Amino acid sequence: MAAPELRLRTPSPGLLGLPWERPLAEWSTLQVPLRDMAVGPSRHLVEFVECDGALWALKELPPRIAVREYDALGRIEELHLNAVRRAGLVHQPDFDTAILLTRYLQGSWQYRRLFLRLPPDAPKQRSRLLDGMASLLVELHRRGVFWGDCSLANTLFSRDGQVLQASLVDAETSEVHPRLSDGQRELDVDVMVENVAAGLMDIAARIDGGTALRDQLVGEALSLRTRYVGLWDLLHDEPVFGYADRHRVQRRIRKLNELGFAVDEVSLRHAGSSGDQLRLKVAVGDRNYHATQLRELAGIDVGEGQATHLLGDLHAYQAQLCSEAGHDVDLPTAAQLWVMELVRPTMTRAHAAVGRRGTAIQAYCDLLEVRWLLSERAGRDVGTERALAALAEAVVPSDSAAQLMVVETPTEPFSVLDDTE
Amino acid sequence: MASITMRNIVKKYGDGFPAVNDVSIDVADGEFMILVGPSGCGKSTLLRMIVGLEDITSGDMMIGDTRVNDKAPRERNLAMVFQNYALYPHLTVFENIAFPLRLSGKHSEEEIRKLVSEAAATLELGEHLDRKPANLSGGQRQRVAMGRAIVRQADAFLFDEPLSNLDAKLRGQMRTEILRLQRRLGVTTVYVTHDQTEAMTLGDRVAVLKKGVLQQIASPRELYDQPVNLFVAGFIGSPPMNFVPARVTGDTIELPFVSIPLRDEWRDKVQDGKIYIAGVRPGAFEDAEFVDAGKKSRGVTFGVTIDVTEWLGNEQYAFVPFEAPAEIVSQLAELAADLDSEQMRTQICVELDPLSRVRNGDEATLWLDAERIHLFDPATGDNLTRVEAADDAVDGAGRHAAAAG
Repeated sequence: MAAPELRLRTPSPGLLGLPWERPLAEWSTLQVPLRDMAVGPSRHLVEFVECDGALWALKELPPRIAVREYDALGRIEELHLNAVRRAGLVHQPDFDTAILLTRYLQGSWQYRRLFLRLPPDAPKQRSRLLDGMASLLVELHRRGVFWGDCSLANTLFSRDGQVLQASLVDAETSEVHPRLSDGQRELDVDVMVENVAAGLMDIAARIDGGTALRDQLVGEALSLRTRYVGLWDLLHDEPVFGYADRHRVQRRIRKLNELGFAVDEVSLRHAGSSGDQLRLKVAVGDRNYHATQLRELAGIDVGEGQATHLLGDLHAYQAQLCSEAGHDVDLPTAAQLWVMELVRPTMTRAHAAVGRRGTAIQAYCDLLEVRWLLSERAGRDVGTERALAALAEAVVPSDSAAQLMVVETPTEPFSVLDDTE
Repeated sequence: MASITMRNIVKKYGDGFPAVNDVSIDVADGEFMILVGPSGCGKSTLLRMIVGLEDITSGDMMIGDTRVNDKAPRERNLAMVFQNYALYPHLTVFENIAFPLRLSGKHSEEEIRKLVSEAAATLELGEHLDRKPANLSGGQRQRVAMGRAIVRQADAFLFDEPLSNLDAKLRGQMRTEILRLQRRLGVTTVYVTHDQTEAMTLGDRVAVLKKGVLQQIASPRELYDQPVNLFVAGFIGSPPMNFVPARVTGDTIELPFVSIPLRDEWRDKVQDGKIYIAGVRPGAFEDAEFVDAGKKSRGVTFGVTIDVTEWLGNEQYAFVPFEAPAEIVSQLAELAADLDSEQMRTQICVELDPLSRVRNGDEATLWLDAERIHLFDPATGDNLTRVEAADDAVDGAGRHAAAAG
């Protein structure tokens, strides 16, 4: 018998102690802290193990494929893309198999939770989910990653302010290139649209037998292509205009910033030989424009979606300070006060109001959203207490992002709704 | 359905290195073509250029009469089979097959019903259309995934190492399913694999590639019997062909253990006194005791000391070490590197009758079929004694037509 070969990135005692010498199918709950997670059908055996205070996904694969996926996940991590992080690779020569170990993304959940916990007709929430997927694919493609099998089941979601962040979970078919051809991108989008359509129909079949919602869901899946192309073109478009129209540069940058993209460099070069027309090229950086700003101003580290929301709150706070003081208060000063006086105490209360589900900062974002929506409906500011009460009673406006807090239950960070729920 | 024609296809990446170099292959309408070779040979790149995933640096890619170099993958009307074979647990078998059609929006409910029913009949899934995937056997589930490709009515099927992701048991089962389906539908098929056994069992014709260059394209039988060079000879066949030094001296060829007569038709292909590489399949040897009297005369017998034997029940192999001159050893080491194999080739592998009693360390008398030998040029690797077959394409299509009919 040949001993298994281990590569572990976190050589913790719990992981080292797992029975790697046995096939994954033979691991039993008596000896191993296996967690039952419903992740849907997979072509390979997948198990979840909880040890050393973390949850790990273990997938059994032919060794060649496992090495390829381990390498692909490594490249994806170097590119700072949203994806599960590889944690180890164990080769079991006796069974001609390998086990790929990844760390489960904390605070993330599968699409089923959203669909099974919300009323069936929640197109706005599905739209958030589809935006998350299209954005993820654009980000992967910008960095040269061809996914090959983008589907709902191969994606995990997490809340980030009013948007949903999607992460790649399965890189079995992924390839990382210096840049992708149009054909690679097109095929990847085709695969995503087809897989998502089938995944949505599957969920619909389960909820109501399927036919009633089918056409609508097909339409929503097809909208993924539009979402993808819209974002891709915005990032790669190279408009040509005259020197006098150079204010268009500002407009373009503002649009990109609003969507959270930092701009690394802008260039205006002669388009064609005449020299009176200029071609605008924007080198678009990471999607962390607001998050970076907020970290620099207030020293808090949050997701881009949350930061967008929070900066709005900060600016409103600054305006209030100025009017109360009767003179200008600069933004860095306002930011320090805002964190101490407003965010920290209110965040704690908001988190308590939602039963400590999700993160405290997300609860604060939900509070801001609910307060704004209720105020808009009432035609006046309803105030923080009223919004807190709405959160606590879980009676929030439908279609609000706050409604998505249902996906955070139960509070145990690792459990996922299973099929029988 | 359509033919696929590759004309002088070149793929160069940023560094200028040609991943595929001037490859021309004609895949006839209805033909099952295999692209095979070790990793880095360009087979997957070639397939991706057919699909439209990789830009083509130069050359023409034709599907039927249409040049598709600049067409998007979707516009090429090809089906990548098993690209996504996820089955959806709450959808019936019917819906699992039908959803690509629903998504395309081009078909009426009636057309969808017809296409899915026809595909299901072809795949012998007709009785299961109302079931859920959980109630199907493993083989039936794979057929559902194939059904998804069939209903698209694609001009050709493409497979990119579809079995590499499966365990050994499923692999064999799936190989049979793929072959049966291709024969029944008669659909033009291009199939990429690194596994020569898969290539030999599935293809009408097999294209062997090495470092981006097409080496030989022929039926499996011809590749096995008449390889064009050392590379193809070494890649095709399991256990692999033996390569031993062979000195031509007058009317004989001296091999490490025995000399064989030099055939008349080889005289003007070789030089007296020069050392060549002889290629001998393990099956060209036999325990002399088990050779029919009828064929014994066309070979030679000789004594050797057996190092090791491997008895596998229905077959038996013996291994005999030999000495080779330095130039031959270095040529063989280079070949091993090209083939991605780590095998030490200074021993010969001999196939023995399973009833043979020869054991480790025995002095044995072996027989060698002198007609089943090739001589290769040690400098170029070319097969000097290859006999070209009749038109292979016709042969391949004929075999296919017979099987489909």
